[in-house]
Amino acid sequence: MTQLRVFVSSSILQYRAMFNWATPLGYLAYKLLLPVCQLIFLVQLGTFATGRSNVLYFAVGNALQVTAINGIFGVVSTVGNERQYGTLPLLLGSPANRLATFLGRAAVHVADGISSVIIAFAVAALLYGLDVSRSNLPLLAGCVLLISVTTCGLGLMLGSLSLIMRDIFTIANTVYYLLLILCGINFAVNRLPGWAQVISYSLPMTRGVAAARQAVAGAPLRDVLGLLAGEAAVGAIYVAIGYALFRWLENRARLGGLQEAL
Amino acid sequence: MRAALRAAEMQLKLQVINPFAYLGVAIYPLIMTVLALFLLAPSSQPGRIAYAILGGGLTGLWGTTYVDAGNGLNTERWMGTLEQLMGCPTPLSVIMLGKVATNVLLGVGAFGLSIGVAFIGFHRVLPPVDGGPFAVSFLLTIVAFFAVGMALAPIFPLARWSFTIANGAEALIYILCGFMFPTTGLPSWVQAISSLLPPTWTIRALYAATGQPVGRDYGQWWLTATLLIVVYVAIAFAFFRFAEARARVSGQLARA
Amino acid sequence: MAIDAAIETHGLKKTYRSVRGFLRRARVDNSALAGIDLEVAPGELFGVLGPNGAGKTTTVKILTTLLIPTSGSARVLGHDVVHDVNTLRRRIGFVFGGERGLYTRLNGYDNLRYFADLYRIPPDVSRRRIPELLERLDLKGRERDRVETYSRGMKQRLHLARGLLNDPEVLFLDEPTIGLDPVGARELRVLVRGLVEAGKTVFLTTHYMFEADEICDRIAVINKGVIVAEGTPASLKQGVADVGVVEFEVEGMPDARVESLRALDGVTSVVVTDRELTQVVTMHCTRPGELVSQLSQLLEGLRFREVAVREATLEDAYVRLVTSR
Repeated sequence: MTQLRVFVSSSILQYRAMFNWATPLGYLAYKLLLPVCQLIFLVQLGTFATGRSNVLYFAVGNALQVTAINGIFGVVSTVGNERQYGTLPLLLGSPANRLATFLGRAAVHVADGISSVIIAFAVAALLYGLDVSRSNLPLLAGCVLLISVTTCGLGLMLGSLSLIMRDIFTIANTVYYLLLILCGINFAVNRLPGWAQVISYSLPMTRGVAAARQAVAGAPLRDVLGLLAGEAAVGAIYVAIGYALFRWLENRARLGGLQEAL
Repeated sequence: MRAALRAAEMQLKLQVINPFAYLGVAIYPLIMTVLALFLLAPSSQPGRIAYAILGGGLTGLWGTTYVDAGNGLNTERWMGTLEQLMGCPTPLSVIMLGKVATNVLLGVGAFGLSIGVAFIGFHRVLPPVDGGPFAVSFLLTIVAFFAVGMALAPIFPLARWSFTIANGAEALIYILCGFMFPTTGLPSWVQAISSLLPPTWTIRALYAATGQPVGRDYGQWWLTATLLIVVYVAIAFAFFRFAEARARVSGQLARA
Repeated sequence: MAIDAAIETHGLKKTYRSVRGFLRRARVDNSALAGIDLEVAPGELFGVLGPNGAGKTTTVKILTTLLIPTSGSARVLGHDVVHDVNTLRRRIGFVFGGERGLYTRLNGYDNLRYFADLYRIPPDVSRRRIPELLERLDLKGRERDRVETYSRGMKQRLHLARGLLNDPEVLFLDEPTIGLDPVGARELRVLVRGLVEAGKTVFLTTHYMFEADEICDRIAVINKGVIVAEGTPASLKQGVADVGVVEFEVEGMPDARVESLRALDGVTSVVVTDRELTQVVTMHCTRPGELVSQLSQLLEGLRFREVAVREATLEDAYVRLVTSR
């Protein structure tokens, strides 16, 4: 129970801390302006390039991708802020359960990511009149949840890296935008060269997006179980790497060898 | 003049050692170019490849001009140097002139990258261009970005949430100014907003010079763009004076 | 109004407006300065002493044109700080110091050359002046190293070099020795004193009483946005000359007893400081000897020890001034 409390309070605190500088307008810009503008831009580009009949394809892909704003930038900011504001030594010196604290950093961003996707879908439906009458909506919802979780997993790994790297946001931005090319968001993964496809399938979102597209087309759960399992596995691997890195850094810091982080 | 040149030199030095700058100048435009190439290369209208190549370059140019210019002020605030700059005899607008000029020049480099990746990765080149109009439109585009960037940069020291808006507004500018697709496909009320931005006209002229079916009214487009640029530059200097005065009242210069 | 004062303020007030809450936003006014009247003569080293949040930095920012006062007026070298901004900025320098305020990824020389151009110093002058300043401030040989490799003291000296680039007539220093080790702080104080001896006017803020006492010609004590005392260090100490200090350690001092001590004739203040298991009571009074003889009676039932009697210092005067309002 204590661990759950640590988990919940840690995540809520992190979210509030991120936005204690924000006005309603600033928060609105973060939640609405960035994802919606990006979505509209890419849907327009995609339909200009391939025809209006593909609007659903681009809308679904890009609406799902916006969860990475929270999963990557949100999580990296949260973890990175510990270092910037010098609270990392305080955190490491506390007796709180590490895993609970670590995962707590991401938990609120999963929820935030899901809300971003819902907003993006709503905007896309409003602007482009998407026909989802044949879609398996519960399955789609499940895909959205899973993708949000696995993207946060990637964010946690990048977040742990941020503790030793000064310029993590350059990497975080690069990863975020590469998702648009590598994860089947705007075109099929099999159009990429072989070496790039390997990277695609090592990233979260690729299998999840493929599963989500099938859900939009009305496929049942059994048709996409393999994809979902693969997506979950990829996400879990990133969380594991991120956590291992976090604990390793903690030990290094305690041994006195980590001026960069502290 | 000397202060502006020195500011330009400092900005160059600061950007060269800043990994985040490479994101705006190189990484991001490359990604956008590659994305657009994947979408546009198979098109039945081969001339459309221009939107991928030039469009990618434009995203780099806009990013360095506007985002880096505005972020530059936020970075100065975060470093604690904004107060030093505000307190010196050289007006902040002159300092920004130098900084934005450097950013613009760095942004032009993004075009080279997008042309390079199109050729090496996709074996595609720009369609034949009408040299004179292309050159004029390209130069005017740079000036137009500069003017809009200068006009919007003062928002940054005024409000701490401006960075978030800048990030979100980037894609909005791509849409409104027709970076990677013509604005003629947008709703008329959106086109009306687009027409108030000088890059809309210069970019239209740029793509016209590559043979895109958007008309050939170069004279009208250039004139409209030039008039708008003058307005934006006037807004920029007025806005800087206002921003400086507001910052002196609120004391928000130093808070990071 | 003296026409040749280097710095003068009249009724200077500054209120910051901040906003609380997210959706239902309430405007909150914080009064940083509640009416400051100051006059600094040319060639003077004037210190403003006060605790954190007293209004020292706000005062400096107004005088250096970075902040516009809510009301009142201020002139530096005869120029209004709100309207004569361009002329004034050329003639003054300011140093806020600290870890921020420098381009840390560039070297010291680049930092200085940049600001030299921003201050419109002719190139031939800056070419001569920058090396002179580097030498004078003991930065010679390190000017081509990145500022992020400098020690705290070196950064502070670089700040000072930057503040002196335009050879200002008036120099504003905001807590210049904060965060420095004792040796570095002492060296900086010597440097500052040297500037005044060379004819500059220096306006310095600090919350170190001994520092103000050591180098300032005159001091103003500021607390909660008002000046509570002003004068030379000697005259401020004179204010406590007739006051002695009786200090003792006691185990558990009830509030009622503290109040009864305060009510005694001749006692001007009683300050209680908590230690781990005991409290230290510091009493300012006019007749310390008499008080000591009555202590066992006054503190009946309490266990006290280590009674000390001493003369009041400037620190005592300062503590009394900032805690009595």
